[in-house]
Amino acid sequence: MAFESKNPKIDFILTALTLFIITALVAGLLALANFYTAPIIEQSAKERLDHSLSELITDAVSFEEAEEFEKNVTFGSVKVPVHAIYVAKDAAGTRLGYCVRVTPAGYSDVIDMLVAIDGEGAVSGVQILAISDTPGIGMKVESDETFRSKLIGITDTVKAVKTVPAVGEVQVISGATVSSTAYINGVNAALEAARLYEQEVAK
Amino acid sequence: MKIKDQFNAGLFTDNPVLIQLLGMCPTLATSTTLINAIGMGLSATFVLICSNVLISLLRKFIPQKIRIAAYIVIIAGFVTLADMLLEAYFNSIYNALGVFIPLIVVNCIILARAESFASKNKVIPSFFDGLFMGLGFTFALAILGAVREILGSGTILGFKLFGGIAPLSLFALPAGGFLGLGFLIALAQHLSTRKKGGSE
Repeated sequence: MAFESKNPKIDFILTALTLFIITALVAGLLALANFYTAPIIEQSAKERLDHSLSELITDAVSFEEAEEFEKNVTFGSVKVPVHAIYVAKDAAGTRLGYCVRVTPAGYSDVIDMLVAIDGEGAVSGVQILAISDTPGIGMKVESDETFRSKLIGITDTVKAVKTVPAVGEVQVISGATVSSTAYINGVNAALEAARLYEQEVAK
Repeated sequence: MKIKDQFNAGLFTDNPVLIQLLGMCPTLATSTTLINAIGMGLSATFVLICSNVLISLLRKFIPQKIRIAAYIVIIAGFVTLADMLLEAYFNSIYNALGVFIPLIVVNCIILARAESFASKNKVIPSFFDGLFMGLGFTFALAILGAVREILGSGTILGFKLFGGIAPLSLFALPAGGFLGLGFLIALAQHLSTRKKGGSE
């Protein structure tokens, strides 16, 4: 049944044509699947984001996505991408704070996280949207409340250390240095991005 | 070949992971927890069934010379489909498996079954071959996943055992994966030689 010919030139074309037909069929199937799943994917991503935002700043009525902000924040050799800054507002339109979405590089993948910064410029909460580090080790940054609570309330960037922390330092989770340093970097970057954004708006 | 024989081959006597030693990379990478292992196993099973059926249908249409390219296109297509479906309907599993879903494309179990079975057999046996080989993969992954989750994280399906203490956190790490897989393969070998009545 395969398209074949004794003439090598024609056979060559027929072989290519066969592969083309298969590729086109598969592409058609994927286009169809994408047509049905893309809106659902977008919708669920938006719902999860909205849910996280309203959990972080409970008083806020609306979240406006900032248009102009610093897309990358660098500390020494670490560059942290900043994806979005959501400005939280109450019913009267007063600014309550920011939620900054950052993706610092974790152990096996980036940690997608939302950092809430209140009106006084202090970190008031952090939500992890996506993380896929080692279960039982890197994933501790998600479950270790003692570690996470240390970053709540900070108003200035902190340094990740392995030893007993001094002022302006936070101790990483033992065994999960990479993941917890990434988490700290994310919080730092969010603070910095919010500060830069505020300066820009003040101008 | 009867369905019962295919079932036995896929799950036990010719298990893709424990006997054929195929697909070691996803086995080691996604067996850190039971739920990840099952998610990976079932996703691969879905791809395996679909690609086996389609390749079997097209077996007379695909020329010898370009068969591998054609198989890869078909497999990659179904993997992308699985990726979209998982992201849309099973988001938590999608997030946990991350990069390993696209990597099902290069899972050698799927190409091996396409080349050695689906391209030479009719549609129905190819369907069952995909199903049972996939379940065999899931079965081996689930055992390894359960062992690694219990020992490495001290939980099972997310429920805390032993008061939340991890007995041997080494098992959550790649080294523990190699160790666990090694023991599991040794056990499978022991059982299969004993069944054959041969000496070890």
